[in-house]
Amino acid sequence: MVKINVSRLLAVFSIALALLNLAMLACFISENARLREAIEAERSLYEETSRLCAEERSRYEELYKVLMVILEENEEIKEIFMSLNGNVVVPQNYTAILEREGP
Amino acid sequence: MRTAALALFVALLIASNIYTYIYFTSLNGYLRFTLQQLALERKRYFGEYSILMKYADELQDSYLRVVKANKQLEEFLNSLQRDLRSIPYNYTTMPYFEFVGRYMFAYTNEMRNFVLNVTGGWDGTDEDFMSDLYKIHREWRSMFVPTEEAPPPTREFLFIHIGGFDFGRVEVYSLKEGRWIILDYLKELPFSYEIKSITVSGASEVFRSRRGLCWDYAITLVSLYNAYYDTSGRSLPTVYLSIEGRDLHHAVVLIKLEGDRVAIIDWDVITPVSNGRMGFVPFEEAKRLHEEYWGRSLFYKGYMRSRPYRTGLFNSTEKFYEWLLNELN
Repeated sequence: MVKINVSRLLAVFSIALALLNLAMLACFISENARLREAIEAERSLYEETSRLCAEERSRYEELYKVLMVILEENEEIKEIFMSLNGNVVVPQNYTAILEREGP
Repeated sequence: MRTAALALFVALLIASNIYTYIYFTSLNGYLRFTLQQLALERKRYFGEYSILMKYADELQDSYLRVVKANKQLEEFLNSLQRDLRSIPYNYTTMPYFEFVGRYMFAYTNEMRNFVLNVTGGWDGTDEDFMSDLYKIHREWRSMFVPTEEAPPPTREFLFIHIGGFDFGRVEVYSLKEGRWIILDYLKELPFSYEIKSITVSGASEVFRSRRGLCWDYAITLVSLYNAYYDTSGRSLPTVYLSIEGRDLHHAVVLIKLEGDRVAIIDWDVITPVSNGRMGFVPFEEAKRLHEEYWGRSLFYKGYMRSRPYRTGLFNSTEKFYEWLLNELN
């Protein structure tokens, strides 16, 4: 009586284990597939964001360079105004006598 | 036997379950980690992207402001250059103070000829040099008529005046340097510009009019001495001095020989003149004679000199003496 019970018990247990194994496998495979899909989606977003970021960085650097160029132009204009401001217009025929008084 | 086989099968199933669990748990754990990392990286890029967008907007605003400023300034500059081009003679431009400094003591060919006629040139001897210095003073003094008011300056020059400079500031983030940079730029000329006439006075004007105040007399005498030094090839430090005493504000000429030996030329030569030659005495003696001449104590207040143009003030006779010894060369 005991011998029969052990065999059946083992049989039932092995069936349960096999089912559990299959269920676990299915569950993990499904989770795995979901994660892989999520990773793909995330990777796609990541690449898009990274591309946008690189583009924005490049645009920023371009704009920065352009700003520096026009600031340089501004500096040149300022220098011209500064160099002319407070100047006396000296007719050419005065140049010789004024040069004698130079440092 | 069958039981043993079943037990073995059960054991294999258990092992298989454990293996499956461990394998998939670690694999899925790795996938979750990868997903998490990607999400973090994406968020980081997104944050950077958002900040760059914001900075770029500010940069764009700054850019537009500077472009607008440059456009206005270029219009001003073109207008100013057009006005300068329309001046109907050849010219150069010179900063005002440099011009005044040069013009004040500048001598003309007429003045140089005057000096040559008076002195007959230098024969290379000390005696003749000192004699020439005296002759130049004597002749110029005999021609010059002191007046109560300065003659109005007659020479007009054009002067470029820009009313003011208004500066702006842009703050931009440098990706290269990884920091904010503040840069100033010329925003506008709030009062535009003007090219106006100014009148200036100098030795050449005084020499032509032969009249004026002590100031006019003294700067012209310095200028005549410069003309003589240029033609003779020998020179002595010669300056215009402003002096003060009781009820006296006056201008004289000082010539330094060496050390503290000087000649002071007021309306007359203060230091001794022997055999028609300019005499040089120590400063203390010269000052004493000068005070005797005016009948009051005197203070040597300031100086003006040319080549290069320099001015200075003294707050004591000691300071004046220090300058005379060490700086007047």
